[in-house]
Amino acid sequence: MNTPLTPQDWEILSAYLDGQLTEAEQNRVRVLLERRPELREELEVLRRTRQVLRAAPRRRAPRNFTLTPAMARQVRPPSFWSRVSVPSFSFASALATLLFVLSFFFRMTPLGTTNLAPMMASAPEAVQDRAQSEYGVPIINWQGSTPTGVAGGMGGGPGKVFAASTPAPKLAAEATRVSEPAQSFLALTPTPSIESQPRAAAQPTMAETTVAKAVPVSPPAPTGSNSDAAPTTNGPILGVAATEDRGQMVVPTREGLDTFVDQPESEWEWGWVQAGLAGGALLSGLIAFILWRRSRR
Amino acid sequence: MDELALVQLAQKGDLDAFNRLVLAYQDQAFNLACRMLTDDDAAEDATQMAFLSAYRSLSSYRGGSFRAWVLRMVTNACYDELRRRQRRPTTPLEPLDPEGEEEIESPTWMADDGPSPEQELEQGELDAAVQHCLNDLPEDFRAVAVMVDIEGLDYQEVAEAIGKPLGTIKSRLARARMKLRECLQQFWELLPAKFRLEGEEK
Repeated sequence: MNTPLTPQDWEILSAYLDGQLTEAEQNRVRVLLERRPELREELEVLRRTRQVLRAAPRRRAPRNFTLTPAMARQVRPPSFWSRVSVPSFSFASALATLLFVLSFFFRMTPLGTTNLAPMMASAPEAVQDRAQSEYGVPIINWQGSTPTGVAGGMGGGPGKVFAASTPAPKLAAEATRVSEPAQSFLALTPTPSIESQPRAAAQPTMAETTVAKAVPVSPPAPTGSNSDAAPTTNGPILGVAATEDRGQMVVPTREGLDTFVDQPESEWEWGWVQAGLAGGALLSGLIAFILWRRSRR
Repeated sequence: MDELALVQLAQKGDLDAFNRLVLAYQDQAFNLACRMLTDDDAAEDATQMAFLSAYRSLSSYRGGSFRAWVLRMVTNACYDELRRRQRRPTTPLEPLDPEGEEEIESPTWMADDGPSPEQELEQGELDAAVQHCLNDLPEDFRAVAVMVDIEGLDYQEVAEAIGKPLGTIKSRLARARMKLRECLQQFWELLPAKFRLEGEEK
């Protein structure tokens, strides 16, 4: 009597048909197939069922199911980097281009040249004209006082006459000549000064200052000596101007500018700046364009 | 360019690489969808949805058979459609007579059962018989039978596509073949001679 096959039997036969059993399991099934003819018949039925299914016609795709870029963007939105990279590089390119154009205009302005010498050179003459006193010597306007206001705002008396300004080579001699008349100011009421305290302490020697004295401006060498007492002392005490320099408008000469005032931008430095801006504009623009093309693919 | 390279490019966002993969597997995908859903229009929609899902979830592909991974998307799309049909069984609209104002009642639209075996023969002998028998299977068994016996996938690929263990695949396939065997016996005289299941007379 043939026993009906159980679902497990069917499973074993099905797997055996497809070669999905281990070597040991296949050997066991072969032995069973030899002993049980009904198993061989069922196996044959399974084989033909599979044959019918495999012979069934296969449908071909009626159209292409490829995705369009619009469909792709809808399904997978671009990443944060993709969304900000193109606008960022585009903005950077535009900004660099704008700065590149503005650099040409900036170079033509006085600020771009930073050439202070002509401006400074005209200042002594203006000061001298303004400070021309009745004595025929230029008088310094101290702290906004009148041209003759030697006795002006700072509370000085009429006797507060400052020595005239002379060109640099003569100033040294003038400084010494001035020193004597200035001694009379020692007796006068000290003028309140808006200068710092160290300068206030050295106020008596302010009289020795010269107007618009063109001095070679060099970093004052700190000296140990007290320049306040000696009119001829040159090196100021740290934080305190030299005696002959106090209260005066120091007008640097051209040679002084070389060492004291910032050097104007040279032409080649501007060239490098503009080249960098142009290169940055081109590079960022190119990157933005490449990223934009990729996003459109 | 091999498949792995195309997959890697597609994962990086290369749409052209992904579309090349689509062209390689769209026939198999559509065939599976047709066998699962019977309706060609529904099969087209399911296939397109499957490739859209595949593109969206490309980052989740971790290797293995890419064909199985794509067919998994197709299977899931078919399952969704079948469940939608069960929730909202749709009755097709009755066609209108283009010349007259009266509605035509077609026996075909009124049928609540599938066509009989005799009617299947008018639509093509073998294909109709197979499809008829596949329709009688539960969707889980149908998917396994189509993938193994029609598409030619091995057990491991089917396990990856279905997302079930290998033992489950073996069990479902065996039971599906049993049912198909019983169903195909109805057509045994109508099948081509070489496919006739000899010795299986009722």
